[in-house]
Amino acid sequence: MKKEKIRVGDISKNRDEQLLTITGEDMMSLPSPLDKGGFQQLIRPLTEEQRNDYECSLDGVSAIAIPKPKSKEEEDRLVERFLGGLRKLLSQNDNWTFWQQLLLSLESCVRCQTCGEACSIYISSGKQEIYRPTYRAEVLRRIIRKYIKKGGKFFAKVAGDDIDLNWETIARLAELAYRCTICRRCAQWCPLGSDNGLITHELRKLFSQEMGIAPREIHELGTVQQLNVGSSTGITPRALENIISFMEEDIEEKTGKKIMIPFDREGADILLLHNAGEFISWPENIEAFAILFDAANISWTLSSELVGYDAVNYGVWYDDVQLARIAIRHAEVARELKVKRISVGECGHAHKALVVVADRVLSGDLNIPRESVLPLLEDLVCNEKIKLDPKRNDFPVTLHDPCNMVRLMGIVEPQRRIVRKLCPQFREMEPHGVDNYCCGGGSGFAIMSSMNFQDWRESISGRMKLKQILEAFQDVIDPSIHKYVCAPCSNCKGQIRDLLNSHEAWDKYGILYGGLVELIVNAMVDLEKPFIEWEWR
Amino acid sequence: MGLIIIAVFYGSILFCVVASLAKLLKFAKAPLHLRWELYRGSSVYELTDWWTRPHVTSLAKMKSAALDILFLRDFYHRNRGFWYFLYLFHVGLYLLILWHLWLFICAMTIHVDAAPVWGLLWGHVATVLALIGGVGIFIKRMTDEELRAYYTPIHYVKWLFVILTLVEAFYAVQIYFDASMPAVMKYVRQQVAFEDLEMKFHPHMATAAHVLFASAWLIYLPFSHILRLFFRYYHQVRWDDVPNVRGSAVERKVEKLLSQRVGWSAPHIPHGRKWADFSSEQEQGAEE
Amino acid sequence: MAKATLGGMEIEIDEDGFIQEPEKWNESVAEDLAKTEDASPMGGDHWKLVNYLRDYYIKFEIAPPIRMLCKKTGFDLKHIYQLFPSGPAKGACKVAGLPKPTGCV
Repeated sequence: MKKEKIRVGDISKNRDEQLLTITGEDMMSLPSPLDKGGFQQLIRPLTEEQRNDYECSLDGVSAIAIPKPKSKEEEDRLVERFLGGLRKLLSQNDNWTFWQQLLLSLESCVRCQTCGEACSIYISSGKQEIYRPTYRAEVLRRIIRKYIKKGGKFFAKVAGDDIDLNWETIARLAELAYRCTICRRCAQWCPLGSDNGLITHELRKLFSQEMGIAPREIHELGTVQQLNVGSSTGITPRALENIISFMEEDIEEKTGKKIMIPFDREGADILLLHNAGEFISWPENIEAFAILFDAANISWTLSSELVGYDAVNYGVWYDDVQLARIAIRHAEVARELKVKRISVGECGHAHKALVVVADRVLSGDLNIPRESVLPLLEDLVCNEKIKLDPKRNDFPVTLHDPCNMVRLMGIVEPQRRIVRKLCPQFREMEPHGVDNYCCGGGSGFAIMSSMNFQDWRESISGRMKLKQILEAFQDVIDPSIHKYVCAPCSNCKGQIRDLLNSHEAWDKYGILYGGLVELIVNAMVDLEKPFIEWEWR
Repeated sequence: MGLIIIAVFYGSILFCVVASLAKLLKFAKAPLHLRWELYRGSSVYELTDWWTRPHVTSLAKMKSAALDILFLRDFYHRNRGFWYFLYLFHVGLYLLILWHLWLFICAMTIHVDAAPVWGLLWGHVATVLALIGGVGIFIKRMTDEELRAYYTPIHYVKWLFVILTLVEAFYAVQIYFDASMPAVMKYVRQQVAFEDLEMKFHPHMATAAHVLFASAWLIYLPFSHILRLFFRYYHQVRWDDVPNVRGSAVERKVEKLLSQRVGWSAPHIPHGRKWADFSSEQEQGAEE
Repeated sequence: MAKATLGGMEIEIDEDGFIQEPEKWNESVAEDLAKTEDASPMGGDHWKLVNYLRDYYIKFEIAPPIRMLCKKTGFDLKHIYQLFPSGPAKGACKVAGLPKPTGCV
């Protein structure tokens, strides 16, 4: 039976019902070996308790755990706050940070729907209307026209684009702001320069900066914890010391070399910022950087200052104030250490946040040169500053492009030149480069696992990436052939790990994942044993 | 009747100019934004010490904009099905704009009897192209369920109006002016130079309708997305924003913006704090 | 936030069942948490893992890196998944009374 198409105005209707229910049959089909029947990844329904406590009437999924209001009065208050926030969003003073882009995006859409075909979530879900890039934008436009503009209520009737604003509309819109990874592929596709990813970003901002609504993982346990404790992972400077000494032992065990990981070295050329998630989940990435920089005699340091050992800036996903706070801390740490530049390690959103977005938050002596580490890695590899042997990487490798590096920053080639030079069996995913697909964990999704959201991001937002990975390895799908998905971004790695894990892709198809620098160190002639360990992590 | 048409026509020109200027001024005075660009390929960030390297020049940006506008490149690459009719429509429109310019210039500079015959062909071809494109888009928008769902009724009225305008213009030239270029040019000359006031006050329906259609579009123009398009490039919203270099105009603007107070009121945003006050010293000072 | 009865006590839990009052954790709380995680009854290996996590957490207020956990307990990740089907972070940490891991981990 064909489902009834959901219309823009439906978002405010049937308040007690779920707007959309997705089943396995709706979803885009996957290539071999996941094309056979019998396997269907399902989005587990919320428990009755969770349903009673949290808003989930959009699609039965709760990403941000919005508590249900207790009374009509509370609902009305929330609606008023939303409208107040919306007025600020449209004010040049309050929202100077993104006012221009927001207005451009709101005003220039011609409803040609070109962006729909670009959106991996919309396509993967089997073209569910509410996930279409223009759906949430259109809801927002209609609310603005009717409730903010003068005479809006009258014109809404005349123009035929009426919408009702009630608490359910807002609760659904808030959840909908977390069904888009802000990969901005739709914006790249838009012939008129309208950016539906930005609309998502601005909605999240309204909810966070005005109403205090944001996913706990990103706000309370993310930016707030990072500013207070030192890292979004909760690593304190004391824990860091312990982990570092563990890593130094680990390096010695693997390579036989005693390499000190430099900390707080004043006047070093480079302050390297790692996503602190690497310390916990992928220490081999940080170890590989240490081995490589040691071999290349680079003057570098890490920081043990609060925030200085965590490159992440989740603010870029949802909150300009938090973005500014963290960017300023990062710059302050570099200023104290008197380094020549900040280099951002393998973390996509930190690239974009610190190098590009924060450019207009940092002024005076905080405006310290900031760059991606990839050009430096390219220089080391392609100008043969260390001895490398591609034969050591003779296994199938494919490259995942983190959106923040390619489409959002124009860093496309350095990582490719490295992999082409070092990996004889390198194959591209299609499409790739600035046209890549998001891993499905972008904009914070990879770290959001509350309630049934992980099911959603594995089955919907990550579906396209899973398809691409399988397609890239179709000719070598035999599990005895070890394969490597290279993803130079912590967030993408986390998502790809979860995708592969839920399909047991390591056991069944021999697909492992990891960073870029690990491939470089694995090819180092100086090391006796291969650096990459072929075991699931 | 004639007076009303004159008032509407010249009023609409004045309105279009004033409203467009007001809108452009509003865009131009907009505050500097945080950077959020997109890239079509490799950028300066692929290079070490990128801050010492040259950025994309305005010339390159203008070239890219010109190609987009001339060929509707993004539609061509991303949405071919839509591009065919849209492109016909735009080519027709561009040709019509040029035709009118040519007409005005010729009418004032050469003798009307010397008006070349190919001018008629130019005008008709342009009108027909725009018409095919316009009707095509109208039908596509009506029949395609995906497109229809987000297109509000008022926009169909707009396309009908486009078609009507074109048909009426074709009628005026072909029937009323009897497909005679000298007659068209004579009319334009009399209009522009105010040579025949009698005709201005008592226009024929065919020309009066054309003038009224033109007025309606002039009034609509400042509200359309067309004006926005220029800003996509002019304000560098989309590609390769200007970096904040020490001592630059951007830095001065940034510092001014950072000295504003943050107007948002969620619990984690201290009341009355300035953007520049988020340095660790000041935040700690404020907590104590 | 919701409350659950664990080890005979009312304990506050978050929406994913992680206890929010770490000081109330004891062995019978762990046994009850293990039931929600498909890890019951807990055997020697379960306890070895849980105790290591617990000790590390008390010392450093955070869960140890996974690689450290494997090395120090001698279990590979596969075995950890056998013990706690939802894995070291969501499964073992929950039973050990640690907060939910955060950040890009």
